[in-house]
Amino acid sequence: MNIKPLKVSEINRYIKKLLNNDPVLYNISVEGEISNFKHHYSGHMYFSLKDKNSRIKCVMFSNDCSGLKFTPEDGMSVIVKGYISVYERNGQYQLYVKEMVTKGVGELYIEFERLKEKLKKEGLFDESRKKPIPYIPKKIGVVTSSKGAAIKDIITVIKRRLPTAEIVVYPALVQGERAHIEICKGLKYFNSRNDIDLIITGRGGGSIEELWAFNEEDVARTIYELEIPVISAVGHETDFTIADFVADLRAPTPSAAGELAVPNANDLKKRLDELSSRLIFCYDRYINEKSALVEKLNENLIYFSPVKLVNENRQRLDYLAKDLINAYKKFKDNSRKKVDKLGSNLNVLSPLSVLSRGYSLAVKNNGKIVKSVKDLNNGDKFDLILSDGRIKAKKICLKADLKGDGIYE
Amino acid sequence: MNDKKINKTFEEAIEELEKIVEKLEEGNLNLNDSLTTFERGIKLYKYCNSLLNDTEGKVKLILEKMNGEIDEKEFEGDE
Repeated sequence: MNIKPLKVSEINRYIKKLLNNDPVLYNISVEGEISNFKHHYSGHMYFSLKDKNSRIKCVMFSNDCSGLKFTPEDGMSVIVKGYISVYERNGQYQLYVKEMVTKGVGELYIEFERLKEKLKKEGLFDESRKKPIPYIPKKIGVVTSSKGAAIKDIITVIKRRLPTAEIVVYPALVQGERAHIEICKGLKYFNSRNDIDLIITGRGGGSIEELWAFNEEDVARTIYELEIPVISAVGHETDFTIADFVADLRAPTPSAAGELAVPNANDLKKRLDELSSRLIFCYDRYINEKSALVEKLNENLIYFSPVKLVNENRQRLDYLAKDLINAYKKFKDNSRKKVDKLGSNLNVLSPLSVLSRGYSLAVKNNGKIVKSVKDLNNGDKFDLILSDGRIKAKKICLKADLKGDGIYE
Repeated sequence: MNDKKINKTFEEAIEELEKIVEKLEEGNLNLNDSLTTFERGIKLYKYCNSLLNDTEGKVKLILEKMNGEIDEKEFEGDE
């Protein structure tokens, strides 16, 4: 046996050539668990994939790593795509990984990412295209299974928060082959009615396969084209579907969709009641202030009123009238007293009163009182007036001395 | 007074009501304006309340018949 010995590098290169030309190894998909994971500072990832019985060395170069949607870790079950080749220097075959996804997602995950990118580029997720959710929707259309927890949660939460809300349920399959068709039909049905102002579509949690209907392109496009705003409520908080991205609002769960769909009527009533009492209070206060002002002005008006002046003048007039009357009375009384007094004086001065004391008065025929002896000549006649009558008398002679007995005849 | 129907969403109505209350609380209005404003406020309050206090909304289920006709019936949960 005389075979020419090969150099190590030659045999390694040969093996490499064999492997690279193999139609299976050229493009393979392998699943396994990651171990000995190392993310080299160069950006390349080195690790092993293993199952219960075996392992294979893997390398993923930095330019392929950049497309990864997760950070690989030891113990993670993954599916990788790539090819088998030989690292000549070590004489070691290994799996050159081009794509890697976590297991259980696999093809679906890749499809999800592909569709997501595509629709995003088309602008289906643009915030500017999202419609506002009405504050108090009157009628809410729900597209979901009529069985199960999701619809119950949605109805319970909405009814608790806003009992006036009407809900119309379009029963649709939410998993399986036909689910996306029924969901689209339900969405379009509600859009064709003119009384629905909000749509909720979704389902409870499940595996990515079970949630898949909400990752279908036709569901996404139907949601996008609806004129009515849509809340998506698919699975649990951590589940994201294409429907969530395109919907006008994403609710993390069906219950949360109920919370987001309607406000809490009790909160609103409280707010309203508070507003109405403030309204009434400040209006009352306003009116009270104004009427107090009016009252005050009215007082001022009365205080400075001409009526008051008139009343004052009237009173003054009354007093004057009274004074006048009093003064007149007094005057009258005084006058009477004066007259009376004069009367009595007169009486005293009357010559007749002298006569009653025994005096008499000599009066000449011409009526003049005889005051002196010279007033009479001898033989002159005169009257002697006494208190009770007259005596015709005649002067006979004169006895001049008054001290002596004057003799009158 | 203007007895026009309020053509507002709840949100718009309650916002207007809030503004009215603030305006009245400032107290700079004349008597006539304040009366009008107050009446408007009461009207908005009643309107908002009516939106919350209407009769309880029904829950219905859409039924699609074989011939494609659509029917509605009361929703009763699991069936």
